[in-house]
Amino acid sequence: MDQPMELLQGTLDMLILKAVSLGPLHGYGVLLRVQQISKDRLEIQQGSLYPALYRLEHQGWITSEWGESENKRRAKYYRLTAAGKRKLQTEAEKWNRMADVIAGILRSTPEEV
Amino acid sequence: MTLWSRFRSWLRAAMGRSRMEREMDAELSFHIEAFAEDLARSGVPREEALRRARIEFGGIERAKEKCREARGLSLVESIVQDLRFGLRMLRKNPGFTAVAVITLALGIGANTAVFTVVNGVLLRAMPFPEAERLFLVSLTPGGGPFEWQPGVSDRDYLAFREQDQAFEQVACFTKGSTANLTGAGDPAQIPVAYVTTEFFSALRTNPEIGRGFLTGEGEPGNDSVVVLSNELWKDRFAADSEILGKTIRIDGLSRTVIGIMPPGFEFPGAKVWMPLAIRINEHNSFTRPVVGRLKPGVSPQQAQAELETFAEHQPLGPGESKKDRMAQIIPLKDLLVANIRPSLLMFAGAVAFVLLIACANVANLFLARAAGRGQEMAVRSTLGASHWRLVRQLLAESTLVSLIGGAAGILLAHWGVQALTALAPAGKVPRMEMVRIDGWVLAFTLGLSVVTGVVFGLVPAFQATGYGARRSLGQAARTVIGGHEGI
Repeated sequence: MDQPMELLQGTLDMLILKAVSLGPLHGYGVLLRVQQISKDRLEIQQGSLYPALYRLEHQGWITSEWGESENKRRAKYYRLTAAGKRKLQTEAEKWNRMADVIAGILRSTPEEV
Repeated sequence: MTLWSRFRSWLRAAMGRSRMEREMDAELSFHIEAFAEDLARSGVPREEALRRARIEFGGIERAKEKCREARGLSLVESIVQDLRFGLRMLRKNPGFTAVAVITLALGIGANTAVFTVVNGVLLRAMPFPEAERLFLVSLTPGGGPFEWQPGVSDRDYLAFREQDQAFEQVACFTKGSTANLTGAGDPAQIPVAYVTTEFFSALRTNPEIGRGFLTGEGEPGNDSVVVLSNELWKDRFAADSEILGKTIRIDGLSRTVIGIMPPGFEFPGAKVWMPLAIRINEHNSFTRPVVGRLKPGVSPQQAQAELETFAEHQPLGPGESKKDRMAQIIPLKDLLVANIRPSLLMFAGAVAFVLLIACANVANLFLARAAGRGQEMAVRSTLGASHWRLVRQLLAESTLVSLIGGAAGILLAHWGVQALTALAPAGKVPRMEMVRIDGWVLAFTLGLSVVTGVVFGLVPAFQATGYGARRSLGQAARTVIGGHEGI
């Protein structure tokens, strides 16, 4: 298995939005889902997860409510809002464009320049 | 939408502060327990699993602090926290606090007292409706080394009143006369004013009870009427509700009371107003102040130009030259404050320096104490307090001191104003009756206190958080003996 990579600056918010867009999750669930989708190749600092969740909620991209967890305990579940959905879309597009550009630059050969 | 959710989250946070805090605790401990359970399922003993989960999570307090910040209310909340902590620190050092508060109270108190006088004399509006349209008309040789009073000679006044277009009304009055009031308690000398019949309507202030002067009431035979000030009516006539129509004796002449002015009206420093008719006297020419109310839409410059043209065309009397008629339109307030403004402002400047010295002294006190608090700052910054947060904490302490100083200063100013009023040479400082501690003065003191707190707190705060913290963690076990920082 590869050594897990640290997250790039500024990508945590996007990953959280994506994770909760697949269904309501509690904070720990967000962590698990990102690890699961990334096949454990990404490492999220647990301490920085909650400030990010609070920030996203404050900005109105996600909302929260208390519910019951799989093991019958009270947990706070986060859900994507309509505004959050739009935000995720634009962020994803931006990211893809950026990735294309960077990849293009890195692929360039001496002949092309 | 975003704005609304932001507001809602702020409101919820501000209202249910402890609920938020409980929920945050519950959420984080759910995370750690769920994580520990997962670890336990993979075979780690329960105790060990919890410990590992906590370590993996990282600094819980720091994460909480970040969450609070992310929620966007942290400013209000942490300021309250800062103030509470500041109060605790100040209570712990009562001697230090007392010295700092007394020093500042003296500085702020002196400034508040002087501002109260400046506010009353120079800043507060005159108690007339639309007072900014009231101007003095003057046609006299201006300036000169003597106390100069603006005025218009009787002859010029009559001619100007005929021709003038700029003013709604121009009224002539006397200033500084006194008369003997007899027949109402002990005889007394009271300030009186003789005014032309337009006087009250030019000032747009009518008697509260009864009426003002009628046209023609100044003429001999009709002029035995009088208007009283509210204060005189209360002091001398026990607020007699049937005073209208009664006669009183002023300088031995009987006059019928026709009106009582509203409380506070005593322009031009009189308690009794009597009608005056201006007539050309072959043997004497009086020069008296003249007040006029500009018509709406007419600027003082237009009135000035009109007066200059008038002065050009007015025939010269025997022995007069053009220089004897300097045309001037002066805001009414200037008549009242012209002589006192420079000295008052100088006074205000002087006490401002007193406050600066007080600030410097208190700043030195704080610096000396900051030298002993380097360790505390170092420990707190290691525990996750940001530099800005520590500066804010220290500023909260200094502002708290200056606010308490300001409150004590208002008390001092209350006595100070009385002392200043008593010290002011009688009759030399105008509008002294307007001097009192009002909302503006309180706002001034509040603002001054906050600024003072920041001014004398800033240097010690940066000293303690930056430079102090870097040095002190290494010597945490040792005692800092004495600071030598100073400004």
